[in-house]
Amino acid sequence: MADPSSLPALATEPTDVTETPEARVPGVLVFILADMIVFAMLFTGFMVERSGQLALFDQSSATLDVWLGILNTLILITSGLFVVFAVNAARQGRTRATRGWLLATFVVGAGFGVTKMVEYSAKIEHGITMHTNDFYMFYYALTGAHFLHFLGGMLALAVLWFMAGRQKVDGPLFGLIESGALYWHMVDLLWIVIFPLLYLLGTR
Amino acid sequence: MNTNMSNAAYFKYWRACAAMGPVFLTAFIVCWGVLGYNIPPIPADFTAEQMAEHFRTNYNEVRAGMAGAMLFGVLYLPWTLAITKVMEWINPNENNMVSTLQMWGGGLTVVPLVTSSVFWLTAAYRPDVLDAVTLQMLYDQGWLLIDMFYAITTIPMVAIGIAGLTDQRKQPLFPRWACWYSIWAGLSFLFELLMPFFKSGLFARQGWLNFWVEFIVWFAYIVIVTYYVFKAIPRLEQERSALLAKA
Amino acid sequence: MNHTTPAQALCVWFLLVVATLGGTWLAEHHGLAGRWTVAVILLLAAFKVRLVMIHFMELGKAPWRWRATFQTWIVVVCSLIGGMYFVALSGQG
Repeated sequence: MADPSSLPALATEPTDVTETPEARVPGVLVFILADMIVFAMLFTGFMVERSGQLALFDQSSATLDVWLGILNTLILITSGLFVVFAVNAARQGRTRATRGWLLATFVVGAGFGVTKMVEYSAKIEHGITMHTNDFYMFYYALTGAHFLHFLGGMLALAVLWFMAGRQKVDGPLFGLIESGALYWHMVDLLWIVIFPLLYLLGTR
Repeated sequence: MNTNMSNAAYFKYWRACAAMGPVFLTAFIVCWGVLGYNIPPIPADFTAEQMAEHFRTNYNEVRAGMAGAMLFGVLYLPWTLAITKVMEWINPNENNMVSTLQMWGGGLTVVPLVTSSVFWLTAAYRPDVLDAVTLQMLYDQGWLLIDMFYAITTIPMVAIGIAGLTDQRKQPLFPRWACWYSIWAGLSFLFELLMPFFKSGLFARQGWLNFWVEFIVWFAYIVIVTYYVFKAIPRLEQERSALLAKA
Repeated sequence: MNHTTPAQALCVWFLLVVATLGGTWLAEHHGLAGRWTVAVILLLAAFKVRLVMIHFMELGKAPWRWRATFQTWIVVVCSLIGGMYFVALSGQG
């Protein structure tokens, strides 16, 4: 069987990363953009539904805990700051600092998980589920989809922290660290929109 | 490397397999989609009576559509093989685990496509005898299978992206954006987790998200990957010729 | 290519925190901006998202097409939300 791995070494061209400006842009941005587009569609869907059931949506929105929402926003913003520090340290090849900041990102980020569980359990205790009405359907679906993204990001951060212990952070791993950080910023910026959308529009 | 095999022999069937992608897509849309009344799916909030009415009226089209879907659905397999062969050439320093996962995942994708079609076919086979609730159940079952077994297709879609990203060529066989799109598209099926909970709205099987967005994303992926497989084959022919000359 | 320095990132963080607290405070005390409370909140959200994009994600240093694409996203999103909010409001009476 012609097994390509047994071939004489291909004269592989070196990856010339500086060839074009486009080449320097992390490809993960495609993933991020696609995700953001779908979320934008979800936001639109929410607003369309809301227009047809204004009173219901505003009343339901008022039952959400704004302070938990603010706390969540501050947690993600701070976590985002720490991952910027992590990327910065990685760029300079400082492994311990990189791992330290990645850990800090993770630990602060974990706070988001805690507050989310508190929030969800409070709602569920009051008998509010995603079938209660259309607002709550969107509430659970939007925050739930966001939460799944958050979990993915937390997993990525953990994996990066482990890998940073085994390889140079300014080597090939740097690209992954940068991609993970960019993805984490997406989790942050999506929440920055979701928070006012769900929690603040109903203010009178 | 088997230097006894000429390039002509090595690349035989490859393009034909790759071409099965567009054939599959076209046939699937016509048979499963149009004839089978699946584009868009019959709403989950239709009554059993309305569902029965559909099968008792449109049974011949559905029979034809599903027969076609079950036939052409298998083409996902040779198409997957054409992709696998490209993946094996992406990076000689990588093992074949990712490409093998892609092969099995893509091959097994045939299962939900074909099996779900048999449920719809069953409903169309004896619609006058079966009661409305049973007909509804059969239609539901087809959709629950095809929608909820997305994970088997997520695997190859993510695998292609991951493998494609290990390409060391100045101009990768699968461009970076296509790799990331493939990964994202494979993971985006996770929205279907909500599908069993809704009979109406965007998360239901007929919803704008869980039907239109998800299926368009998947169809686009098929087109994009096929395009780059066809572009890769002549490049690989040149690469292998160069290697044969050296050996 | 210059990157966001830790000091710059810290400034951005501070702005984000202020905007977050300020926007929420305004929402709770809507007497100040009245009908325009939500508009201000959405503008603040757009401002915050842009800060994250330009400085945290360093899109400020990326090729202009990428920067434009991402900024278009936030403009479109906030315009859609704001537009539909005010249409619904006026439809109410």
